[in-house]
Amino acid sequence: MNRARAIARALLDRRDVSAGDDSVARAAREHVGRAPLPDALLCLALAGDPSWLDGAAATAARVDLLIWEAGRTATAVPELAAALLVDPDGR
Amino acid sequence: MTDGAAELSRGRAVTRVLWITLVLNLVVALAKGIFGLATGAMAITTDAMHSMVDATANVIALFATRMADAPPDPLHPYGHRKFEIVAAAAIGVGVGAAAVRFAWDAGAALLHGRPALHPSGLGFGVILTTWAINAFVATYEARRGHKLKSAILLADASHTASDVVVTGAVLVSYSASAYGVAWADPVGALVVVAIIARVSWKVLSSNLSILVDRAVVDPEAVCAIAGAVSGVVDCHRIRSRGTGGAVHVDLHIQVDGELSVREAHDLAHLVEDRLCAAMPVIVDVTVHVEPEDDDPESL
Repeated sequence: MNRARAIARALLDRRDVSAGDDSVARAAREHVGRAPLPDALLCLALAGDPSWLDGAAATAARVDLLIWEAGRTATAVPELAAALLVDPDGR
Repeated sequence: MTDGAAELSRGRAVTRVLWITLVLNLVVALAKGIFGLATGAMAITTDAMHSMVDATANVIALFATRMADAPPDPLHPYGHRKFEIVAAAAIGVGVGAAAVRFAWDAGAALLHGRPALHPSGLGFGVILTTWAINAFVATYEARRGHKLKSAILLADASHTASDVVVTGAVLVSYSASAYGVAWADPVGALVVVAIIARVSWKVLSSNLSILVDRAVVDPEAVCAIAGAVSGVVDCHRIRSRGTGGAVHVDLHIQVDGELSVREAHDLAHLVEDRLCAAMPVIVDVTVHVEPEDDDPESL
């Protein structure tokens, strides 16, 4: 998971140069299931439309744990807040 | 209810089921045995010995369950649950040994030839009555085994379920004998042997995997839960062992090397609590804490 920590940041940098390419989202989804808390939350922000969790029960259960733990420890992940608050219609 | 009281209550419930099945298995074994020996019906006698093995298995199980309920002590710090598993494996060995003996007798009868049996109404009555008792015992024991999460009850229920099929085979061979088919009786006995051998292997292999400490929970799932705790940077060396209802887990976690002993201790407790909450089959977790800059391979 040490490597995952670096990967989460690398994915964030990569997102801006790979518009229209879903490789970042796919890599981020993989890391949501196994990265440590701050990195997993950052990857959740990069994973795109949350409907991907419908077919991934174990990861969805982990997302519950991550969000609960983020609340308990008041962990701030600005990128996740931005992803959660985005209006699908761009308003 | 405390954990100890719940375990005691579970043990009593398992014991009660075993006593009921023991009495029913003895009734079945005696009925078949007396009739089989009196009439020389080889398949029925073999089936009677099979039922007697069931009754013996119940006695072993009763003894083992009493042992399994004993609380941990200095010589058995993980508790006594494995006594139940050893007993279940012993059932597998005992049944397998009986299968070899039955096969020998039936093979000898086929090779040397023997006159056809003369089935009677009483014989059919004995077979059908014991069939109904076996079906009841298998269903009852399986239901209670699932509810109480008892390996010994499930192993015995699986075995008793095979009795229903076995008695069906005996009924067919007994009916064929009525038409003068001399080889029907030893062949019926061999069918019984084949089924007994299969059950023996099934019971033995499932319990041996527990005795040899085969992993029982997915390490990836354990790591996903532990890694979701704030402060855990990495986890590795995840091991698990135990029965389906009582799993022991140990793992290494890596944390910030600057944490105080108290902070690292609290973090380890949090990981233990999360794992027990997420996986109720886990009864014990041991967490080894390492600073994150240590190489996991060197520890």
